[in-house]
Amino acid sequence: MIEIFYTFPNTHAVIAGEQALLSAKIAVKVRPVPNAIRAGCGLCLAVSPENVDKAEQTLAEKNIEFSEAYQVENNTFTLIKKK
Amino acid sequence: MIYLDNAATTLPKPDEVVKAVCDALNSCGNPSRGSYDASLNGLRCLLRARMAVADLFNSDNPLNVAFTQNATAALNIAISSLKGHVIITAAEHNSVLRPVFRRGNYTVVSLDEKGRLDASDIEKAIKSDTEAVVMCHASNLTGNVFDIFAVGEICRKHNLKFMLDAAQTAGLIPIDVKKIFLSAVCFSGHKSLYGPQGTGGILLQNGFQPQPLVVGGSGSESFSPTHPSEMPDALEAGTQNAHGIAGLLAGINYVTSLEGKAFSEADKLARMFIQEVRGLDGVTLYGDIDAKLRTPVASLNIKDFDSGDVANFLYEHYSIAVRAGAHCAPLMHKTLGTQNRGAVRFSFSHFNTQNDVLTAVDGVKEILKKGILL
Repeated sequence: MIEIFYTFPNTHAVIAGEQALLSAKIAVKVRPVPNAIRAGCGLCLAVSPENVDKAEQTLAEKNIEFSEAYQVENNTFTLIKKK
Repeated sequence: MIYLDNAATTLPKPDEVVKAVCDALNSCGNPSRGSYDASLNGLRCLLRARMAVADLFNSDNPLNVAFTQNATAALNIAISSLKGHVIITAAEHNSVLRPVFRRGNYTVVSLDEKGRLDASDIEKAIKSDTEAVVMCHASNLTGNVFDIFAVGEICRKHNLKFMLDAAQTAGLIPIDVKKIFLSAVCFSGHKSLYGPQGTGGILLQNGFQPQPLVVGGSGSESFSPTHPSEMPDALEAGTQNAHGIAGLLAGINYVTSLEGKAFSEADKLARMFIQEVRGLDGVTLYGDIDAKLRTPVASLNIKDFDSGDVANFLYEHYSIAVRAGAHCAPLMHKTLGTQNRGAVRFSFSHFNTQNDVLTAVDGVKEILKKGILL
């Protein structure tokens, strides 16, 4: 299964992002940041690839900036976006 | 008890606040520290509370809200970040005065005999190294509300920061950061926002980024030797008071749901009290009691009785709880000429009734008639 992990500068931004995505009816999960990803805080958001465009648009509309986006598949983390 | 000390802290608290705190006690884990529901519930609660505060002051950025122990802590953060000359007014509470006195390089702008401020005096006090104006929105002693729009425009014109002590007004009188130029709004959670004691906060505006007074755990950047600079972590070291903030959130929701009635009903009671006692021979009321916009506060003295004796009499004979003595506003007492005896402050909330007012008036009248025997 492929997932997209979004990291943020702090946990408050993670939760703000979670609430924004849930309000937009986008499935999202808050989860710990894997060791393979260096992030500002210990939490990140996981989103399905098919929801990426809508998720990033929603975050932008709410002025919530993510730090990095990773594609995650079979324990491999590929940096796909960096703010 | 007839509680008329709402300017100190509101009592009672709404049932919603009590329930929110109780619920949070057994549902909120440590916010920012885990990815399990209990911890995330704490974090979600903090975010909802930030959003409620941001909405209250019409700010677009809830992450610019940091929670503090009280308004005093918020003001200390704001003031201790300043390096240049600071302008304050004689109306300030010690929560502003003492941090400003400790750092030095300040000017106190005087008030008239009723404690009113001429905003142009703020402009006249500006010096070449002036960095900020720090002042209260309303006097905790007289209830008079100051023209913060005018002061904000002076600050905007002269490129000064404007720190507002909103302890007496947040929840009562609207503060719109889109209309009023402000750098920081420092507020109390347990007064007219009806939250628990131990809650308050600071909302930052216009790029103001104060240095934290306290650094430590933040739930982020754990391997960095320095504390994060991003809000709100920058000003929130250590575990937050999520239980109290859950109550604060419920309090803000409660007061906003009343759509201004929390103020208008308390204002009506305060004006009724003032109307009943203002003509009584021997009663001295302080401040501009006829001002159109006031907080629901009335401070007075009766003949030459000690204000503490008056408060004690009212409590012992009428179960009326009021505040006497000095009110942590020494320069305002000097302005009003009450530095030696203080004043008796009656402060109302919408939970009070007309009967509460009439009972307080009866108490004042009995003191006038019979005096106080110790």
